Amino acid sequence: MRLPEFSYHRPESLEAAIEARLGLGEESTYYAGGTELLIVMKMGFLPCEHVIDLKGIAGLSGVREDADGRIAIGALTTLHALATSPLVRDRIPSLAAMSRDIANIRVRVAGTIGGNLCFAEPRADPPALLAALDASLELAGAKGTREVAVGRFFHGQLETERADDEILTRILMRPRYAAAYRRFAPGERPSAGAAVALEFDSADGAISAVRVWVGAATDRPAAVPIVEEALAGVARDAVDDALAEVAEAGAASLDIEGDEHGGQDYKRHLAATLIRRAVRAAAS
Amino acid sequence: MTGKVSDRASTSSADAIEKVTGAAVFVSDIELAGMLHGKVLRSPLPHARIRAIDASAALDLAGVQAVLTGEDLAPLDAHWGPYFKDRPVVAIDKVRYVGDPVAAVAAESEAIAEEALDLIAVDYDELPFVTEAEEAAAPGAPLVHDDFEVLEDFYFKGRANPVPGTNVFQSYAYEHGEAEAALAAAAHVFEDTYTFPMVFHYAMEPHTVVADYDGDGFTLWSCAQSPAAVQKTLSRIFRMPQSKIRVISPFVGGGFGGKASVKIDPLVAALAWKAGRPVRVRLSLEESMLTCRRLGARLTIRTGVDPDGKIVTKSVRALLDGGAYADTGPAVAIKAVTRAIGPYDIPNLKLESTAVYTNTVPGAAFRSIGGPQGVWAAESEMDVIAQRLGLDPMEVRSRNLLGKGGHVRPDLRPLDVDMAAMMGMLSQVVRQPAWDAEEEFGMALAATDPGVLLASTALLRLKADGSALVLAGSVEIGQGVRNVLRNVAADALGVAVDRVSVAKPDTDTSPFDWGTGASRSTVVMGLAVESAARDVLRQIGAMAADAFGMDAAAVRLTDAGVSDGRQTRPLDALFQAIYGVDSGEVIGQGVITPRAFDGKLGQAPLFWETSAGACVLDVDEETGRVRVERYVSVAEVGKVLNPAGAEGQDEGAAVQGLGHALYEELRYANGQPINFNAFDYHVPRIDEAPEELVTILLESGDGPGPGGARGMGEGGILPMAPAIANALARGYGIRIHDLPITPERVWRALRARKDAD
Repeated sequence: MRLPEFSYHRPESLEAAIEARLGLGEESTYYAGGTELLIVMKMGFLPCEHVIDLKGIAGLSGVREDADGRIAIGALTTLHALATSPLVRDRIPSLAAMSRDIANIRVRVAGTIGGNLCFAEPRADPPALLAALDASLELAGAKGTREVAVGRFFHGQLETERADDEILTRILMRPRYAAAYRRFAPGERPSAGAAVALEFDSADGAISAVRVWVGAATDRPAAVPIVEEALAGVARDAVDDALAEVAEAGAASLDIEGDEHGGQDYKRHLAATLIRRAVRAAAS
Repeated sequence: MTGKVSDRASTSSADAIEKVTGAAVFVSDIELAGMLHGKVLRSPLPHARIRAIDASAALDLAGVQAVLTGEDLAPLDAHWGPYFKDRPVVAIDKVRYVGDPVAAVAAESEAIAEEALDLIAVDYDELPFVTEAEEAAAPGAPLVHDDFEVLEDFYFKGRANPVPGTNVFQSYAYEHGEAEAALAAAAHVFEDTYTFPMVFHYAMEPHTVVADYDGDGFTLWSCAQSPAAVQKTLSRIFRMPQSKIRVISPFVGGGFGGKASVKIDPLVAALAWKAGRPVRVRLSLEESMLTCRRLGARLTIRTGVDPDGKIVTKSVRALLDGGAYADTGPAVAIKAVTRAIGPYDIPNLKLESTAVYTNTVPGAAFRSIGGPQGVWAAESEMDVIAQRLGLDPMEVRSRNLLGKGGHVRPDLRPLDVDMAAMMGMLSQVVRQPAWDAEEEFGMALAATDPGVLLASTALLRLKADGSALVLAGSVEIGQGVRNVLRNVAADALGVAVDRVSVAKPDTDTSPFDWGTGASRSTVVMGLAVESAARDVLRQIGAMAADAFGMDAAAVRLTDAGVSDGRQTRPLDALFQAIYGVDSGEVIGQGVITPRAFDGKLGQAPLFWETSAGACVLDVDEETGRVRVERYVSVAEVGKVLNPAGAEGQDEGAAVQGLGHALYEELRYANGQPINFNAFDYHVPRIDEAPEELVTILLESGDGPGPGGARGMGEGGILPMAPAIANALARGYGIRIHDLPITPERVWRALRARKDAD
């Protein structure tokens, strides 16, 4: 396994990076942390003659709170930085906790949240949680800048909404939810993950907003509307009863295939189990 | 109680500072002037004829110096192996598994060599293949090898018993009593089948060798655990005197049997021979996974038990998957069934074992050869019997346990340890409140017969300044053998440990040693070093009698020099008196053969390697995930010679066993390996190790080695898997027959039990 020869580019602005990508065409790729990219290049799965390193561009990493209360995470923020950021731990603790559990420390200090999302490996943790948190992604390209909801970003295995020239710059979300992510990862990558984000009505303590997403077991993160509907308006201490059979029904509604990481029935069962656990954790 | 629990006192490790600072030299640190870098082209097909190889484009690549293919081997005796001459140095005519070396490139850099691999065109003619042992054993299966060229007493004593015209390279049978007749008459009969998959050694250091051919002979820096076997094998391949082949053993980053016998040395030597320059070949982890692995096994155990829970008869039938080349598989096949007997009194016993070639990575020795396979089946079955008869697992074992001196098999040395005392230690630990409060424990015992060859020589050179150098062929593979030999030499000479050094093994200077494995170095090389020290003292005594009129028999070394208790002289004064100058040395020799000590060591096994383990689990019944919360490992080691090393060996073995139990399995689909990489092949990480891991080393002081030591380091791997399965059976009512115990298997078993309830 050796890296094939390639030309290395290190632009210092978004505009220069986008221009480089457009100019170099299909035989080029953006490069963030490299924890996924370099491996597929070594394995010969991604022939590419030009690597455009985004790490020379100022301002693409770090976590900030906007004036309007949104949390903005720079796409080049490492998973380790997310796990240890005081702001993330305080405002979106579920995201800090999830980041802390990804892979191993060598991956977390190099791998970036933006790289993780853009690579779109199905067996990953961040997509489902960020979808549940109703985060959106800021994409900058030749035609300008746009925002895409995380839930609509993933098209399938290794495929996303991002156009070839576009660069994911920021991940944006309002820290309004009590959220939890639960994963099952007997090896290096999760075989299933469930994320639940809840908002409670301050007056009666009932669930006023609910988002339930499953990842890793499916080709792309998927919402579980059956569970969301069952939990809407439910009091905090009644979620267990409301869940009863509904987690299984929710898992059964998902497009889960059996593979070497588990039979279809087992993976569905895992998804249901993790949904229940994430709901309970988010409600507690 | 027969022994005392190790006091856990620790001595400093001779190599700890070197390893921590990075100063320790491993093979990959060796740089020679003009050294090239080698890469291996491997077969992408499980079974194929090679029609043609065109390496011209690779040779045209700038920086490529040589390409080795089967055609180059014509002047050599190209096939080698420990039991059969079944493996070519590099593929000749045919490839037998995905990963089989087809060609090797030597180039100015690893990158160039790897690039050159893509430029070698190989024209294959695909053949039918077989990757499952059951299919390989069936009539009409594709033959992996056309015939057998059998060797005798080459590496192990004896020869294999192949079946010509089939894939069966070993077929073994043993019986005492009347196993079948006793089964027909037994009150209770049990029959179950267990499987153990092929698993990888996963040494931190992948296989690495530097070879230098100077036109006359070879020098190799090798990760081999058996330098003498490398020397002898190369001598035959290259038709060259053994004395022209020098094998140097730097620190080795883990062996576990994966570097025993001979692995990549012939290929690297041949590449250096072809290139005319030194070559280093440093495999990647993925390539090491394509080099060797433990033999997968299917074992069926039939047991007849009387109404009191006493076993009256037992038969074990095993089928092992030996891969594309037999390597030491014939020995593994015998051990797998012998190690399934257990430390029990079994009046009627029948063992049958068959090992077959398949188109998969060659099987090889691995920490307690055949042991984990045999003990997984045997100790799972003991609990099946206990459960059916309503007996406690310790009770059913107690009713069948052999006493010290009892016979596992009449043709083997009587059991030399008190297994009841070991089980007693387990019992004490599992009754502690922290354990008892949790779950039902699971346990297992093991008694294994190490295949220890009595073939070691050591030299000990005592210098005039009182310092001493041990010359021994035992390879430091992380087990701490240099510490042990240093401690043994210091004790036997009666000098402080810091005056003794242990030289790096080098076949030019270290005397013959069979190899590092089978838990043999502490005992056999330890005895050789001890004998060498006695030889030194004998010579010093004679010199002191001659020079100073001392009582030769009473002469000892002391901090002050030599003394017979009446007079004391500085050591350099002794040399001055003999040589005329105050310098010189005395060389002591210690030789261990089956004839040593009046043949007392000759009966096999030299000692029994025994272990006992118990665990309590944390099971997530919804996901099926199993964690070993607490684990206790008990070993009867005779005498601990290097406490930190001994404890580390036992803990390491237990955690390696945890990997086999819960995670590990090399998998094939359509002849292709599918998880031979670090992403998909999971070994336990520190956060998956038991929260509490207790190691108890019992010291009866009556082993055959120095100070009464027995060998150790393999036994700890054995009880883990059956102990976990037995805890699942007792606590959760499920019986797992197939390793690894994956979450999905546990979940399915739990669901089946609930459906049945």
